Amino acid sequence: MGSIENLVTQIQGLSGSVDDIAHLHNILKIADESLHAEPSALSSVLDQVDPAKHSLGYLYFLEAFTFGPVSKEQALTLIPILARFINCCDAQQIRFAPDKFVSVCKRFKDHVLLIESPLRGVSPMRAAVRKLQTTSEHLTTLHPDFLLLCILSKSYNIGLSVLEDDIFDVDQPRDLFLYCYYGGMICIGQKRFRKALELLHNVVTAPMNTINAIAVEAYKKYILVSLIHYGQFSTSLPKYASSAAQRNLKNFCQPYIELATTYSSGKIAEFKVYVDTNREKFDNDKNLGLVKQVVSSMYKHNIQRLTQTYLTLSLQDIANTVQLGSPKEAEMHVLQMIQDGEIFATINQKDGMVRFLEDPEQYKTCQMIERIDSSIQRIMTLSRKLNAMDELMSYDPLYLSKVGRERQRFDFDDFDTVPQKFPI
Amino acid sequence: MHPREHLHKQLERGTGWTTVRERERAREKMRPTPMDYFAELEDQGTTVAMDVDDVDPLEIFGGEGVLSVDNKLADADFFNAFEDDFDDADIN
Repeated sequence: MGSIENLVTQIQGLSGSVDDIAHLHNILKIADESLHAEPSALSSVLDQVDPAKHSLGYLYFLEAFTFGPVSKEQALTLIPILARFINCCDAQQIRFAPDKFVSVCKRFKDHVLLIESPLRGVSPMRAAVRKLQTTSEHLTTLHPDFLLLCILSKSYNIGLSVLEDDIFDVDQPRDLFLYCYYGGMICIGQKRFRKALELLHNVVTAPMNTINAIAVEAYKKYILVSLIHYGQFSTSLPKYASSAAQRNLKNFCQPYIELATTYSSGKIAEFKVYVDTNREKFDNDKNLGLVKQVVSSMYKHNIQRLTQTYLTLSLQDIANTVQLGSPKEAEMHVLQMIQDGEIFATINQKDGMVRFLEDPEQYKTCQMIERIDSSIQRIMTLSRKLNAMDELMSYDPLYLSKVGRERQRFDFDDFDTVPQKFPI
Repeated sequence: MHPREHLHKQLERGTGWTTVRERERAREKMRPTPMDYFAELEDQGTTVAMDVDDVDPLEIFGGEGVLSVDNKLADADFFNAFEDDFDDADIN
């Protein structure tokens, strides 16, 4: 206990400048083993150390104190302590020991799941992500845990705030897979289908040696969201998808591939029969809700197709063509689509005629110009980023050795060595 | 003509690139007469820098050797026990 008291004194004295904290960190690393040896002695010491001012020291104590499995009752006690530390700790200090901070946060996540209260973890985990990140482009190992809690607690909107950041720096591949898969689910929950497709696409096309379970689940949702949003789906993966994905992904998602094939016929009755026949499979995958959205989307896409052929059409004709039960049902669908901006039309209630209109957007309003300008700026930034990454990769020894093995051709500069072998 | 001059002429005609095998074959043939090496170069057309789009995608996250069909899924233990929350019928 005496050594712990000394440690407390040192923590209190060396939590000022960056140099002091660096020195403190060395002391804490040496003392870490002894802290783990007597975790029960730490509960009283935690009160002597301020989690905001002495964050690094507090982190070491907390990590040792919370080590090991806990019961539900213990979790209930620890959760407020962990949440308070995560919320008020100093980011600069905890970045000296990121692994310990990650351990503490993951334990916190496990505890809130243990007591079946994921909502309690959302705000602290969001704070944890922001503190661990070196920049907003950095994907930490805590991102997926945060998004997981958002999904479980149905806090989709809060999860979206983190998904808006563009990611360029990834610690572990598994983090990227999970981040994009969970992120895709959050976007689906918010009906941000385009963003969902972007994220799920990243999982499916990410480099992988062997087929990844996360990629399989992502591909299933990718197929469904593609049908909902675009009304179509192509089975061919882009060239940059891994060989493992190209060869194996479809084998694991056969019912979904067949669903897409049936969808493409445009025949709603046939499609519904297929869905009912395979209901159990979709339900087991927890995708039945999304499949039902696919069914609804079929009506919508069939109505959208009508706008390309007709200027006016009666509600009765729309109902007949799209296989809806009645003109009233057709009217409900058309009204909803007008409200969502999916079609431009007016309905004449007197004669039950729908008049399809052109998109009124003239692309000359101030808002539209600002939007286009913002997109251009974003693309320019992305282009600079890609050039910088390309340049970095061209110096990477691992990349060069792999490409050197696989390529047979040589750059023109390599010819410089050839003449030296021949006496002139 | 100096071999390098000959090479430049080949390049002007767009024949500056060759495969390693071709160069080795050329080298074997030309041992008695090194100056003839560049005459062996065939027209390869223009080239592009490291165009990885034309080759199999690199397995950046630890690719090793030939990939095989494997029924075992990596990361099969990932958390996916979510409720099905995407049924719009529940909203109304």
